[in-house]
Amino acid sequence: MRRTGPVIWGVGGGKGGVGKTVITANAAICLAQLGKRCVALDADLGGANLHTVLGIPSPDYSLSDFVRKKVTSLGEILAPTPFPNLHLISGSRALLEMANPHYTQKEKLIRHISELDVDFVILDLGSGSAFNTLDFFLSADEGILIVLPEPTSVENAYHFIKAAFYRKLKKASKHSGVAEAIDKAMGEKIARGIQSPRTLINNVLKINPEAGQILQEEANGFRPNIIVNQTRKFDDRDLGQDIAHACRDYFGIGIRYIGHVEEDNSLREAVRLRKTVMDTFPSSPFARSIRAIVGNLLVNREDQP
Amino acid sequence: MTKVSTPEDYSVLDLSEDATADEAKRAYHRKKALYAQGALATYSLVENDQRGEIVDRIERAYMRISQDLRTDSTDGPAVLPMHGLDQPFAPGPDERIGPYLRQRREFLGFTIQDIAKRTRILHLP
Repeated sequence: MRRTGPVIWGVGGGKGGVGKTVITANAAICLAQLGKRCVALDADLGGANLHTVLGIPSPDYSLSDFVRKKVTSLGEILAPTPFPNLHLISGSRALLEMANPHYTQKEKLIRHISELDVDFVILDLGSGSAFNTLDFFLSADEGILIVLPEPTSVENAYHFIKAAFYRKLKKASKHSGVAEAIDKAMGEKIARGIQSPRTLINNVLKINPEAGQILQEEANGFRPNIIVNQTRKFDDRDLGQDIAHACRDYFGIGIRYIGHVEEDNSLREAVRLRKTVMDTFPSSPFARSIRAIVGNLLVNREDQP
Repeated sequence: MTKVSTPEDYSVLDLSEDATADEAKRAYHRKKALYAQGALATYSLVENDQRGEIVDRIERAYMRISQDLRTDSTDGPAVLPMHGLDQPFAPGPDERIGPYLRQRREFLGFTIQDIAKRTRILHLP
């Protein structure tokens, strides 16, 4: 049974410029339009610009006020947006050191996010596979990975998936005997040829079945979602399904493909106007794609508040 | 009659064990395309020698499954996979319709003859 509090979606991607912020903003507006009380949280602390995509100026208060203890709760830094039901927690004006917060700061932030009095929180995560990004991604109820139909983006997506998976396993290694079994399995990697998470778990199962079982359970609980952004051709749309198949075959990781976002001019036009597509061009292919994806996530999760 | 295929063969093709011959054929083509040389989804994951092994495994799995399922495949018209998504399949704005339809047909594992067989009008009133 899942915890109480908001449903948290974490939007990440191994590569910068894949559309995380735009998809976060528009998915949040979509949820708000469905009547869900929603917070879009800019966790891209090194380059926060979610407020711009939502069409509002940089808010007076941001996460840095929370981290510097100028405020005691995230509720105090909620900034209104032009959209009913939707608030923003800005990452702008963040201190330089906030791009790499201390462990305790990060844990406190994650705890406070899960205590927000709303239905949904959507995290716009930074690019890359830094531990902090991975920890926010793993803290979400639904981790969502954005990939473009181009080689560098696909490569980075696999890197992100592997990094997040190993990070999750590392957290499981606090159980007795698991860390030792992983170390032993990794130590024998040349002899046994560890190439993927699946091989690692199989090897740990041979070395220490109990530890292997714990890892297997962690692996079963790791089921990120994938969105293919900026699709133009039929082949592009199949990429998500292909990545899901490849991850299952090669890594032993279940990935859920939740849809593609068509490239269309409405997005460029909306950004130019500093408006959002969901609000300005609700019938555009982009807006329809976002609604389909949000619908898939809501149906998959079956825990609409 | 004894089956030559194994549950592992179905797993290799991502098929349920009650799949029809048409479904097996489509799954086979799909998997072959996934692990084809230079395929976007796998080129960075799989080394060339591994790719050869994987394709061999796919070929062997399909050979055994199709041997078990070898019938005339006259079990009605094929059904397009739904992909589980409420999104229309249509050519993109920059795509030409002819190549799109060919790509779609090949993706589903249909030959021109398959299409002809299913669309032929046999009896005119």
